[in-house]
Amino acid sequence: VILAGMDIVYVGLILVLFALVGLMAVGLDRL
Amino acid sequence: VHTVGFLVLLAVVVLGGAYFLSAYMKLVYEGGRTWLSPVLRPVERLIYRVLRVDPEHDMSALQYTRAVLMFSAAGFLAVYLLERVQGHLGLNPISLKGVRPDIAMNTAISFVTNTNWQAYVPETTMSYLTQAAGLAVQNFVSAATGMAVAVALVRGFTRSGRSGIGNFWADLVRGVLYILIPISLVIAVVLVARGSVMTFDGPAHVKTLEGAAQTITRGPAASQVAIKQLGTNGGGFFNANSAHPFESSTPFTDFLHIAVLLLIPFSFPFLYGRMLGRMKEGLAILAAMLILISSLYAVSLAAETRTTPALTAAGLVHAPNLEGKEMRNTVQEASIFSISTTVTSTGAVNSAHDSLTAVAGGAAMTGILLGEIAPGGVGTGLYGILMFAVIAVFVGGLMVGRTPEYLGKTIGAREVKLALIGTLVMPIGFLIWVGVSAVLHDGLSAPLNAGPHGFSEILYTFASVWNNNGSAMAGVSVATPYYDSMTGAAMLLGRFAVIVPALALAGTLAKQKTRPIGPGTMPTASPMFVGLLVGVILLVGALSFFPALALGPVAEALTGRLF
Repeated sequence: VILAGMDIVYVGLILVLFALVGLMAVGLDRL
Repeated sequence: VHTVGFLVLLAVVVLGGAYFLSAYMKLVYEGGRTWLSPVLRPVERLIYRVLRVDPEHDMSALQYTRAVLMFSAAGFLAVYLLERVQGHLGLNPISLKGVRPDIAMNTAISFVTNTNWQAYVPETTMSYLTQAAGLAVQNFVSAATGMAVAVALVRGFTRSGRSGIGNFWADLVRGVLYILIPISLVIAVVLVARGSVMTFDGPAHVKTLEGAAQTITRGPAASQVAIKQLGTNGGGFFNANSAHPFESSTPFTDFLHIAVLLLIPFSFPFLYGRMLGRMKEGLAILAAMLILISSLYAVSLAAETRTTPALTAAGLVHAPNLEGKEMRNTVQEASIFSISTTVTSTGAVNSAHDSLTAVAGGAAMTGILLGEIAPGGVGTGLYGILMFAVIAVFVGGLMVGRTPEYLGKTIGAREVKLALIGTLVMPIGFLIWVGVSAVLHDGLSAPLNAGPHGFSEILYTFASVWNNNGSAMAGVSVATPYYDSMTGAAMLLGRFAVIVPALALAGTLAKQKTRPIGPGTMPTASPMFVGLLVGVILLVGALSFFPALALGPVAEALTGRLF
């Protein structure tokens, strides 16, 4: 298996942070 | 005399080049016809057709932001995947295996955010394919993304009563195609002509004059080195970065490295003036940048050309700080390089920053912590300093009792809130990250030095990643899951949590009707405003960072001891 386990953790961390920044953009748009 | 001559020549080459480049950049971002259009326009159209993009579609600030984030997230996934499966792909002459997950994540987000923080040794970690198709590609597109955001913010000032701030895809493609690729191609050829290596062959195995066997690593370096400086990325093809003879071979190429990394950042204040149709406004921003960078050059040069505690202990009181220097470059050139790379978001190095004197190390760190706005990274420097300019206008308006206005735009509560968020995200995040790492075992286990210098190493690490610089006081062992996660998160937030308010500010300003400038408007193309802007930048910097710097470089300098 090339991708598994820790890949999900690290990729997940970055994608969650991207999602948070995206939410920040929506929030600031309504500021 | 040599140093003054070097700086004068650097100023003439960089500012002269930036002045003319900015005229070309204005044409490019307006979609105008340039001398490269006959060749590149068909390529540009083909890219739009493949991507199904209408370059004339004017995006709102939120649409523009969404495009930036989606593009960057896709870039992260592509580079991560490439790193992980490189062992099964080609252009891998020494059969390197897939990069381990924490390093792969850290490196992918590092290159996507234009940081180029390298928690790995390139020669023994990344295949040629990963370096060329993953990292070098991100060097181009991450730089073009920063440039696009800056141009979008300037459009916010130039437009009146409009909901759009431009098209991200058009800005991205034009930045890469017309600006970054042609210039870096020329630089790469010059570097190859002066001794940089550019080959897909594996390492050379040679016998030295003493009869010993030596392995000399090679690879497609020159092309990556050119864009690493031009795009203020900074990630070396080799671990020794710009001190490696295959990256910079001669005093001429050392000068070229410094000039190239400053070129586009200094083009942006000129571009700002040109897009506004008021060059004096751009020159005011340029003046503020020059005051800050000149001060840091002076501090660093004064510190590096005096003796150090180690040299004094050895009985040498008239020697400059030779520790950690590549002797092909002088101490003065290393000092100038260290400031140039930290006031931009480059992070390339031609000497060991961990070996800088406490004061020179503090100056480099200050350049980073002021937010890299003098002149800053490609594009990022301009949108960073413009957010400070909005705050300066607001403060100035409060002081004299005038309605704060900048370039005919009212600076109201919403504009100030967005500018404050954009400028304070980094200091807040940086201080939290340092504070946590200075108490946790995982954080404290990384620095290799004790006392204030060890603390400086932690400070420098998080200053670098939060500001997308990428250089390091390399006396920190950061290739650990803890540091890879902390620095990875910091690079992402330091980049995009600043871009988001900058683009929101662009949208707000573009929607406003531009008012005619009257006698009540504070003049912003004046020495007084330059002073106010520099004051605001230093005040925010001093209030945010002085206590932390006092425990690191300031304490180290005052003790005069080695740590």
